Amino acid sequence: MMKKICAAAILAAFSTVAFAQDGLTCATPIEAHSNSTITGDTTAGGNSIAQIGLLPLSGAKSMIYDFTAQGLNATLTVTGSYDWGVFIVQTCNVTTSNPMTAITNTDATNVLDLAATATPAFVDGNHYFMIVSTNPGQPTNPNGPYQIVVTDILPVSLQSFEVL
Amino acid sequence: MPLIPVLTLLVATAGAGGPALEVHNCDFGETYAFAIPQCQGRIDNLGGEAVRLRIAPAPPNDTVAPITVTVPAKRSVEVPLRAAIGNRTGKTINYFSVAPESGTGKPVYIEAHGFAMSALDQVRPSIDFGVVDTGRVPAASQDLTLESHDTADFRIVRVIDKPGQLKVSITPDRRGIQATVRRDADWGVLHGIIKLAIDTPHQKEAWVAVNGSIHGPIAPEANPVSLGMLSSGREQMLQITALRSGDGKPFRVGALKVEGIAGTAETAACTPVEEGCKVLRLKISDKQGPGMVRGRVVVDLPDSGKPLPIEFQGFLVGPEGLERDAPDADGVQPPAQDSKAHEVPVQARNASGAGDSAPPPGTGPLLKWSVKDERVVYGYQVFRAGSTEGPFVLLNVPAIPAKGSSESGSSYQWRDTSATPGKTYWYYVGVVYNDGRKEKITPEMKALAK
Repeated sequence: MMKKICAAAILAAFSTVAFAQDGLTCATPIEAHSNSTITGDTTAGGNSIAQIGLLPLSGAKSMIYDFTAQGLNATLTVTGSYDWGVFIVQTCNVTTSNPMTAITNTDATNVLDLAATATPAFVDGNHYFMIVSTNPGQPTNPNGPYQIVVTDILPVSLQSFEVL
Repeated sequence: MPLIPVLTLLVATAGAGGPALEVHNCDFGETYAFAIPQCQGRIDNLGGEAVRLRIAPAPPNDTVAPITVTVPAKRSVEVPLRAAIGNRTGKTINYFSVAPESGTGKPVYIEAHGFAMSALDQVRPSIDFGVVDTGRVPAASQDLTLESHDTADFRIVRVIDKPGQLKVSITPDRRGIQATVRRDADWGVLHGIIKLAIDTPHQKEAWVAVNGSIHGPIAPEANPVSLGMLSSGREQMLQITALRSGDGKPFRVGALKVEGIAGTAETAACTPVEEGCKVLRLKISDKQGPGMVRGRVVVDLPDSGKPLPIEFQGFLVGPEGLERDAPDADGVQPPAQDSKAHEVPVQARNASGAGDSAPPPGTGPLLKWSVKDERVVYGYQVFRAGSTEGPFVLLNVPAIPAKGSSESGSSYQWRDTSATPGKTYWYYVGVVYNDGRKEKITPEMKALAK
């Protein structure tokens, strides 16, 4: 099945500094793709709202990912060692808009259904950012490592079934 | 028992000048939401001196207490990592900070990996009341029935906790709940969790998320309110919502208390003037710094006997700017991308991975199925019943691991070695996705055990 979020090399961190998509800034996001597991550590991320953009997170560091929606129909399953927050935004530029959808460690679940919760809805071909940062509440532990599992909602396709 | 006994190696130093440690993650395999599985991590002390370490869940939780271990110089110790799963499903990691007990140096992290199933078919059950008028007759009420293919005869044992605005009762068949907004409920945003005790063998708790907005005779136009993006460093007045009386008559507003932000609030007549309508304005102080603002205006309504809190949130942006182009001053490094695979597919008992390979040994009914596009699949579950009406019972724990192939497809074989010869059974196969969702993917099929 086709990818729902454009694929890119997740190993970009091993590139040279000049071309590194290291996720530290809005200019150098790491591309995310469907059916993948993303791991990282915001301790190594970029700093604070004034420099990152939209994030409402003074003092907390963030990691930036990006993707292009194409029939986007996926969930994020998030775990982290800290008071985490994951935000989907239309642009890293702070003057534009609020997060389209978000999930934090204090929510009732650790799974975010992207298409079902986003406002406005995703538009095929448009470019979006996923910002991994801290819980906008008063975080006791604002930084740490995390894992995000990106799972398509499209069902598996059964080809045959028999009982002998 | 760990399903996937694969260790991930992480070379780490616990802060500048701290001990040189190597931590080896562990895998607790397949578990269920709210369980506390355990696996054995390992810590190697590469240094020349013994070190006493404190290993604590990160972030801390009330369920698992920190432990301390002493690791002799040039030696290793195994440490039990107890992973409190909580209300999580799917592929998951529990992190533990490892730091010298002395408190010096930054911690490193050791990880317990695994997969959390939900015993319920609804992985994320929820109730949305929408806008509720407590004066309405009958009272706002919602029913929710929980289903489980894992444990067909499960029951809800009791209500552990609930938001104070609700009455929650368990239905007579103990498979569902009825949640009703109390007539005397506090007004304002309803956002909480109904925690239920359930009696499935593997999962003893289930959470239901609850949302809504509750009001009395005076209804807000919106609650909560999004303020959007604002500039910090200057005083600004925002009209955040309108308040209307249900009967269209004038009403009194007492004190207005602003919480969570530096500012004040006031009310004014609606424009155009409308009987029984006032607008609520929030004045944000120029002293309010940048960042997220989340607070509320508590509106005293003297004629109604209790206050109406209006919640708001937004973002205050500093004048200095937007994107940054350079790493921060303290010399950040790219994050450690996890290039090592955590998982090695293993065959569950009774299963055979390839459709063309020899079937699993034994004499029971043999199930064969093939699929395409299974990259998002964690595994498969086989269910069996003694009649077409059920109840169907889950036969295989842990799940049969998916091979994760895409276009080329994958084939599976699984034999029911527990079947009684001469008896007829009905079978179907269910899928478990990487985020914990479940789905029945085959029809029910009859077989005579030979």
